[in-house]
Amino acid sequence: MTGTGPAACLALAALLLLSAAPPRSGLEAQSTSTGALAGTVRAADGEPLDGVEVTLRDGTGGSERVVTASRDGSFRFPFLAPGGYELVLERIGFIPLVVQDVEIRPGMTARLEGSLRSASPPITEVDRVPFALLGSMSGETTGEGLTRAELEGLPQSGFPLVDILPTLSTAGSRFSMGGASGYGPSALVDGIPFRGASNPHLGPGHLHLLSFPTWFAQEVQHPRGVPDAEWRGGPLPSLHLTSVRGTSVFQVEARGGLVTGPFTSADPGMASADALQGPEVGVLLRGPIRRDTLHFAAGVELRRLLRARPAVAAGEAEALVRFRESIPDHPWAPGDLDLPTPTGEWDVISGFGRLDWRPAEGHDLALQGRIGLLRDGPWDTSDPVLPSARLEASDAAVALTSMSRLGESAAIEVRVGLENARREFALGGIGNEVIGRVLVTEPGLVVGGDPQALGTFEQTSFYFSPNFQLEAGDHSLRGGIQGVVELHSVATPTPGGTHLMPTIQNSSDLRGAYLRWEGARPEREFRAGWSAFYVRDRWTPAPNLAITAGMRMEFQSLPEDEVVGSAGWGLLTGLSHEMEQPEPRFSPRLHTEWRPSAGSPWLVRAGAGVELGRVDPGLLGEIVADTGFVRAVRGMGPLGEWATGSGPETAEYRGTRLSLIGPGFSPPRVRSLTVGLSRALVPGVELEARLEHRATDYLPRVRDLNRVPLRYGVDQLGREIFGEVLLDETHLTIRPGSDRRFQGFDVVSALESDGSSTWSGATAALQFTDGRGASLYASYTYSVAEDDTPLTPWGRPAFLHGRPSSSGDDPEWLQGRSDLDQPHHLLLRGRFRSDGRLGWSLGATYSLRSGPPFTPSARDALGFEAFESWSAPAPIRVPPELESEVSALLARSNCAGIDPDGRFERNACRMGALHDLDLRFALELGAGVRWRLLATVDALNLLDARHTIPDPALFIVDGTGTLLEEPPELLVLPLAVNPSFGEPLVGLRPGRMLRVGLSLRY
Amino acid sequence: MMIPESRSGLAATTALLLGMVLTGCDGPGSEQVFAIEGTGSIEGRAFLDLTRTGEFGEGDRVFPDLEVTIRMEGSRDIVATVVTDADGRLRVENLVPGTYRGLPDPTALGDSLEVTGMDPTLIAVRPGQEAAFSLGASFPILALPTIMAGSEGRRVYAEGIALNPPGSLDGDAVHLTDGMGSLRTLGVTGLGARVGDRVRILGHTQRIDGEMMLVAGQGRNLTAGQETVEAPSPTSVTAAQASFPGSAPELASALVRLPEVTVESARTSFGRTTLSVADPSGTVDVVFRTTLLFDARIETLEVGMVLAVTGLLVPTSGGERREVQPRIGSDLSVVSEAPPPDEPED
Repeated sequence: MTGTGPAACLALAALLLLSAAPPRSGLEAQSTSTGALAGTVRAADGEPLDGVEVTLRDGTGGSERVVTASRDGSFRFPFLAPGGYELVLERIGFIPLVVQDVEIRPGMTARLEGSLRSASPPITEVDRVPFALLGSMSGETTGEGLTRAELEGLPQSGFPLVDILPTLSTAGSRFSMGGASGYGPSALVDGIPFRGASNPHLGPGHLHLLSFPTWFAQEVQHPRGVPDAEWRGGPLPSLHLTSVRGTSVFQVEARGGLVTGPFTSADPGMASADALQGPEVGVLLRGPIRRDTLHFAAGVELRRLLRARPAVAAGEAEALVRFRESIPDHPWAPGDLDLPTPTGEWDVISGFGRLDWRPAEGHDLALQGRIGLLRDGPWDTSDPVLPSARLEASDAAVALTSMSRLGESAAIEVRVGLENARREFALGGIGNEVIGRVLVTEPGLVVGGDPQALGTFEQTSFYFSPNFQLEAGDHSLRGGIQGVVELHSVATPTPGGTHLMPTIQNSSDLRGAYLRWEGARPEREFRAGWSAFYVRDRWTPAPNLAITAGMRMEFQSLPEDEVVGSAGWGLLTGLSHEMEQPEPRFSPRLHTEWRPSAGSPWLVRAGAGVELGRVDPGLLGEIVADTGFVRAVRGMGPLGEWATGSGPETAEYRGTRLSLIGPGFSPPRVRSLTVGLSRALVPGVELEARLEHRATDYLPRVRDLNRVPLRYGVDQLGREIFGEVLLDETHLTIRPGSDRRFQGFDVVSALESDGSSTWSGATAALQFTDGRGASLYASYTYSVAEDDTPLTPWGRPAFLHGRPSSSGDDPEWLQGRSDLDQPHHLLLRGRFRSDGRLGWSLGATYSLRSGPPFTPSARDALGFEAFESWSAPAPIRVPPELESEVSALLARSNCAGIDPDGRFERNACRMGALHDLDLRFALELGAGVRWRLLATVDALNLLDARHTIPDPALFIVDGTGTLLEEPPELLVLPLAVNPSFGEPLVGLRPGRMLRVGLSLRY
Repeated sequence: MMIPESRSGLAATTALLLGMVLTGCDGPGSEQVFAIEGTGSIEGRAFLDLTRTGEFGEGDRVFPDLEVTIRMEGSRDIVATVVTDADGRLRVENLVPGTYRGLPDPTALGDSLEVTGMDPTLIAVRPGQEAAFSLGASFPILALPTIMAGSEGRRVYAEGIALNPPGSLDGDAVHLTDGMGSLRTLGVTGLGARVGDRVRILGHTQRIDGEMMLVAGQGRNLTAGQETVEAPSPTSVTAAQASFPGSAPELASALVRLPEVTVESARTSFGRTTLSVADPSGTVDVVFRTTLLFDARIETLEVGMVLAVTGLLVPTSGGERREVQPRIGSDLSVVSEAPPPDEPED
């Protein structure tokens, strides 16, 4: 079976969504010489679906029968010759469902229930999915959405996120953002990384998606930059009006709703980086303009999002109050410790349109477009501590898809499109010019503004992709060319600067180290792009064996001409600032499915392949923009004054900032191997076991090339200290400039692709369906993730210590448990629907996931390397005299793992497990001959699972203490144990959410 | 047969899968990272900065056998230690690129030498290149009271205002003052200066006649070519203050003025004239070249003359007494002639 036969291609609705619930087949009595097939088609919400075109082909492909499902969703094929059949369910606006191996026996009626997901409106990229996807979707029985195997079965890796989203079910695939190891923000779908659709400054966090209609994004709510925010879905209460005339289906769908969640300012961890959704209304129209040849769909949607900015941990409030009071004419009462969580609103307008035209039999054209606008609502801009991060955003896209079938066994598809996305981040509030962000450091509280760079980012991309498909015998061959040209524009103003106050005690005097910026980055434009050739063949040498093999060759083009080098740096170091074009790379894929015999309950799946990522344009933007236009000024002094130092030891240091891309820089590469075994135990019950291994290399890592390669000393924690340590009244810090290897330069950020990670996991899953609306899916995955690419909490590669040959490198320590390692993952999902005319249904999803790991550290001002306060990750050990004092803290945070040198291993501690529970209850309030009224209640995040950034500082360096220097190199720092170790600093998830709505189906 | 066919296909597939996993095992290597490759060197010179200009030049001497340590900026680790050769030159090779400091061995400098110049202070070592470095060390410049109160035998610089032109006093002596004290330097050569010029004299300290002086000095006029400042005003003293060090020790080597002293005796020998002058406090000797009388337009010296005398205090008699040494003719002036001898009573 090929999956994407001509019948599937015929489906005008290229917007084929989500899941097909596993078909259930059973046998009933029929005539003795022939059999029959009967079934019901339902929508994802369980409602019968009318107007569905049901195609039945016999196993040889010789005959084909088509019926249309009746108003109650039922269909029937009587008098069928015994044998194997294939069934295709299609309807405009729904993803087709292909069911293979439907066995008809004499005298029996096979029963089958299929479920088609109510799709988003037709949106451009989805076209690519059915063209490539149907084959690998067939035969899948686990989960309601695309499983990992299905996703891996995508013949071409590197789909933009927008390609993948529509293939996600609301409950099947798990979706997480921002956590792809070392690769900056990107998306994980069931653990499989997919790159964002655009510059990370433009997305692929929720910003990018917010401007999509809800239907398209399926209400994705994932905080931008959150390491692991799972996507939770479920449509809002909506009103559907559908008219069926013959085979023409007109639909008017109106949606509206209000989502609220508890939102208390008293909760110190209540610091959602994202939005709580507010009111939302939308209208969708779709139907035929000219029957069978011209269809349209259009929708518009308005939303207001209540958004909370990162608040502060309660323990840090005092410092902030002092800071507030340092601002002239501050509006706060002295000693006011009440720090309400600042909120704001985003207004989002989004819309789309689509026109499908069949000018001639066998030829289809689809023109699609979408637009989205986002503007900040009113913000309280009077708070300099938390200067408002203003955002304006827009998205626009237009695409044209042409599909021509050449006879019954060949098709050509050409896609061309243009997309534009623009984001403008800015800070408001008084004092911004002077102070910029205030950081109480390491790694700790980030107050004010957004961790992302400010500025305006715009991306315009043009893509062109001709593809072909050829069916010949037991081969189904596909291939094509993909080409994308991207034009990026980056304008990043230099903020006032950053003040670093290491501890509460230190900051009580409002003194600290500071970093401010001189000069302005010019607005830069650069071009990047990639092109690829691919070919894939699905070969079915026997009915019980299918082998899919593919090969892709990809070229990526980097903006080498736009990089302006620094002659001074080149003279000093001999390093070139030039960007090299990556070599063309090949990525083979192989996937197989095998049953020992035609009727065997066993099924073996195995796959291996190489996936190639791309160089993140956001990282490229830094390389292009940071070419010496900005100078960093480092010094020490009182907050808000950018004071000059009092003597030569504390004199300001000025240095040019550069960002370089490493030699032979290459995008990430993932090699994966998957082996799965499933067995149908009894009808409706299936067990699956799966082993997976993925090894990723060429992950980007960042280090400071200009950090002095020789250490100044080692503190009692075993950390290497670089640069001269200076005790400046209230804080210990590095003498400005003394940690610079080459004078005149500040941080020289080197982006190099020498990181790697591995992920190995074993999964056991059990699925049960009774065919009457009850289902249960349970899976448990144990995994181990290791890498050498630490991330910041914002998902960017963390600055590493240098890698000079002399010292400072600690690769053995870096190689260890990944920041993303969450070994246990249990997922239980169940649904029960009552029988009867006025019924009800209850669905629940429970997820248990290991808490995220973190590495114990010390909070100080001895590493102030980048825009952020985060120091390079370094191993520490507990001084013997403090062991008893910290033992309870370590136990509280499940800390374990000491290396042979007595130091904590990387990510030796772990936050508590995350329990997540979502419920949906639907109750039919009433029904008539032509109408049904349904009430739906969604209770999301009932357990209030909250992803947080823990305070990893086990020790705090108290700058008011005494610094002892013991020859030859031991620095005894004044340490204090941090009682807040392991406590949440910032929460990253919204609280519980409740959605209530009514649905009237007429 | 269907099954065998599928099994053979499966076997082939398995082999392909394994092959696929094994291929591409070449991960990223060192070629993916920046390497500031190569090494650089430092070529330098250490010199005795006798002119204290901070740069090697005429009048300076090379500094052999000086131990110099090379440290990377921001680190306390010593990267290299070298000893200057006979020409004062040093060379350090195989340094990883970066910023370094060159520091002389403090024990080699001791208390008597100090660094006068490091050019550059921070040495940027570049791959494949030779960074120039010079290190100047010299004797310290001490305040005159410090010299006076210090120990003998130190080699130091004295810096102050010249109180007399070179050659005006016996023994090529030049007296200096820095506002806090005065110093007598002896044997000063190479110094062309006028009274009031700021000069720096290198010499070793020696106690002569109980008073610390700077001997064998090499002088340098720091105000050469510039407008001469007004000469320091002398301190008015009495004869007793001038004569007895114990009564006014702070006046050692100072420029003093005896406003009205009476000549009690005068003697001339080998071109030098010694006057014993007195005021009500006592007597003090005034010693000068006899030719100074012509400059002062004093034709005769008579007992009983009242003179105004300006001069430099110089110890005598093993430090028990001091004498006043006028420098130029204007240091002597007649206040009143000697009274006529008493007429014999008739």
